[in-house]
Amino acid sequence: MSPEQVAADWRKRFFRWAWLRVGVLWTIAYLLAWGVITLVVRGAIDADATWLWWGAAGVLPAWGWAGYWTRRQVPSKPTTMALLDRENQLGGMLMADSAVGREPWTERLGPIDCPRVTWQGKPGGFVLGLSLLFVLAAQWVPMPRASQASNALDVTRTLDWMQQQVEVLAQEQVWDNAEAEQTLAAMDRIHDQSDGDDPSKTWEALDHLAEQIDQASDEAVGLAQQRMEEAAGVEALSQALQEGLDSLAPDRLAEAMATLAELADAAAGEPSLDGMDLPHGLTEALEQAGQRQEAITLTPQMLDQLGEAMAQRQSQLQELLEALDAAGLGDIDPDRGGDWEPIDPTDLLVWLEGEGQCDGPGLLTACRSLRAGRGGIDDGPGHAEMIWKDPASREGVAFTPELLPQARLQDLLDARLLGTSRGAPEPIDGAQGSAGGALAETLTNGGSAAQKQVLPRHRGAVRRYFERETE
Amino acid sequence: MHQPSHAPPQLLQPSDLEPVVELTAQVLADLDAALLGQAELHRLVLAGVLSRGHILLEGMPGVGKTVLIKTLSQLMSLKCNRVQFTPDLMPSDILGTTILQQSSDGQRRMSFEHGPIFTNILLADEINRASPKTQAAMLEAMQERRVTVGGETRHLADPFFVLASQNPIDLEGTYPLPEAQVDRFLFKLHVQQPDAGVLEQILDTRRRGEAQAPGSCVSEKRLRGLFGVMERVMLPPPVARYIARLVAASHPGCGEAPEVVKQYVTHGASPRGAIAMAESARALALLSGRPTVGFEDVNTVAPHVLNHRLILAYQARFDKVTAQEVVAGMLDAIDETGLKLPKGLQVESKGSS
Repeated sequence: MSPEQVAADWRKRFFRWAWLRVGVLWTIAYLLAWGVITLVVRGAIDADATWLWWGAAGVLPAWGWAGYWTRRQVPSKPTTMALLDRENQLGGMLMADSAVGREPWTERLGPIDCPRVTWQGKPGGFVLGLSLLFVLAAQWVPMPRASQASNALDVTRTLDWMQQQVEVLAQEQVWDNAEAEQTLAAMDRIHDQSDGDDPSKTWEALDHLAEQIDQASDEAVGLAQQRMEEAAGVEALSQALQEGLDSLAPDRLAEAMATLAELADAAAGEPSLDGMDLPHGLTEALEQAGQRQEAITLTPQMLDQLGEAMAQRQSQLQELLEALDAAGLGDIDPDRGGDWEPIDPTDLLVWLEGEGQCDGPGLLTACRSLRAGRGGIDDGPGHAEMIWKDPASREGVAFTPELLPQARLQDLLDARLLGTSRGAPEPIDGAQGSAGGALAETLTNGGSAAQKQVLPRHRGAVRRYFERETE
Repeated sequence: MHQPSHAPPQLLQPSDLEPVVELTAQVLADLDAALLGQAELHRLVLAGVLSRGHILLEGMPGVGKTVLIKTLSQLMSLKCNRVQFTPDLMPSDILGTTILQQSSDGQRRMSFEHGPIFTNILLADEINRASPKTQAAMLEAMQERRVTVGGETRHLADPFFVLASQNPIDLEGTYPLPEAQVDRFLFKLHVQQPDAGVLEQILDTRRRGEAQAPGSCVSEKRLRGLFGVMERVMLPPPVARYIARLVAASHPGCGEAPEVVKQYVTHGASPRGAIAMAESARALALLSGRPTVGFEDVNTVAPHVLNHRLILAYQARFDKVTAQEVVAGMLDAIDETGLKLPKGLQVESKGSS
């Protein structure tokens, strides 16, 4: 291989290693820039940013430009020949132009070793790996949802949670669609208008919405629990009447039937949800029974149907309560909506057949208050009618925040020096001095710094002190 | 056949170079036989002679400076004069003087009495003991190889070398050579003390320290032939560029100057130093039997060419840094080829691993 060929081969090697080096360096710089831009874009826009992966295509131009730049850095042919001459210790033989008759000497030179070109690329490779990890992290790291305003207040999680609650309320027909959509629209407005400079406004609005949702859910829970009790009462009463159709007195049976109709109507009331789908004949019979007609309109079959419908109604309401509870809605009373024992139809029948007073309100109370200790059937002392009402409204009861006056110390801290006077201090008209401390109630007097005014009740003790006989 | 003037000079052919190499090898062998243990010094001295340069030898008394010069003059069959420089030596004692002479017929006329400088090799022993006036008398002779006495200019013999010696110790009563004088010396060579083995060899082969007479003699014709061949030794452009960069880098204001130069040097080498380096590198290439000058030739002569041309700062004396160390730092810092490798890239010869 001639010296010129060796030089050309070495220049190719140099170009490859230098290209690799520059390419790695430029790729590192590009990856870092790409990662920073990705973070900035993902933080600035609230949209899908997967298109940023196309930035990987920029690596190819970086390597192309690195190749172009490196080609200009490849040593010239004379420099390469000088390098070969030095490394092979040829004493300048290769540096002499071939036109000066170098042949007789080059034949004596023997083979020319081509020096190796190496690159200490471990640090560069390590940094390249870090840059790649940085880009991947910039693409995949979860970013807080950006807002258009730079000082936005991030209430996304709160709104998401409230949105789920509203959807549950709409799904369980506690709220109709219009009311739910109105609430969702209000939530969107809060999200758009959330301002980090004035977060109290946003939090107040969110509190208002949360209060609306809680109120609706509390009302729904309360009604559902009340309807469940009423449905259970209807179920028990229908079973008792089914057995006592023949044994009960007619007037008491009519009273019981009217109570049954009233309870059934209440149990089918709001939250009606899907409502109760009672057979038409049963509905008419219940209406007639509610009018306290003496004619018995409810047959044993109808009573059986009514009992089954009420059992179904209870399970339906139980599902509603469970759904609300899963959504964190409603203050469900476990004693009321949980495992309570309904009134025993046999006991009820016995009570109906008894000689005690068994009018309509008494029967209603007995059937609505099913549990012991809560005004149910109890012949002992303390028997009293307990009336359960709807939960009291919170309106007007909530605490009204009041801005307290700032402390006097804060006034001093906030004070600003307006000027300095060289004159004697002058009292300000209307200003009062210190009201506390050791010098309170002291009077200035000639000859003493302060004269304490002795209270009348102490004057005797002071006088005795100064009039005591000295030894 | 007439050749165009722009045609590149042809390289020396092996047949032209082989007799010269043989002759110089013989001279070196004779020098080595005369003065034991100083082979590298002999090589540099011969390179200086082939470069037609003046050489300043510095060494302790008794290391063989005078013997070397006398042996060289005997080998070259050149006329050699020795002048022992003393403080009371006058310029006329070296250059010569015009005296009034009376002929046999009674006529009187002024005649020039040639001084010892009219010779081929002037051995200026302990040159730093002469007064500055006497030292300055040699400036014209060393650079222009002529002297002017009494308004008349007289050319010196050709070839003309000044081989001066000076003692690095016992400096009381001496006059350090001025920079202009020092710059005229091609080399400043330090004659080292021989080691114990060489001393034993000297004791075994020398009676009363007398060196054996050289076995060969180079005639004036063959010497001029050597000079002719020297003219044809090629200095490749990259090597010339390297010499230029080296000399330029000896100045602290140069961009390529290494840190050791910026720290310890106040004034660098002159263009005369670059010429001296190129010529002496040519001579070394010739002694090595090569028709071209390589980087290694420059690296060999650079310390001896530059060490007396660098004016060191006070910081160098404070840090006890010598000119040789500064030049060594320069040679380490400056790449011969001028190749600027990117950071992280390395060039390794196959043999180095």
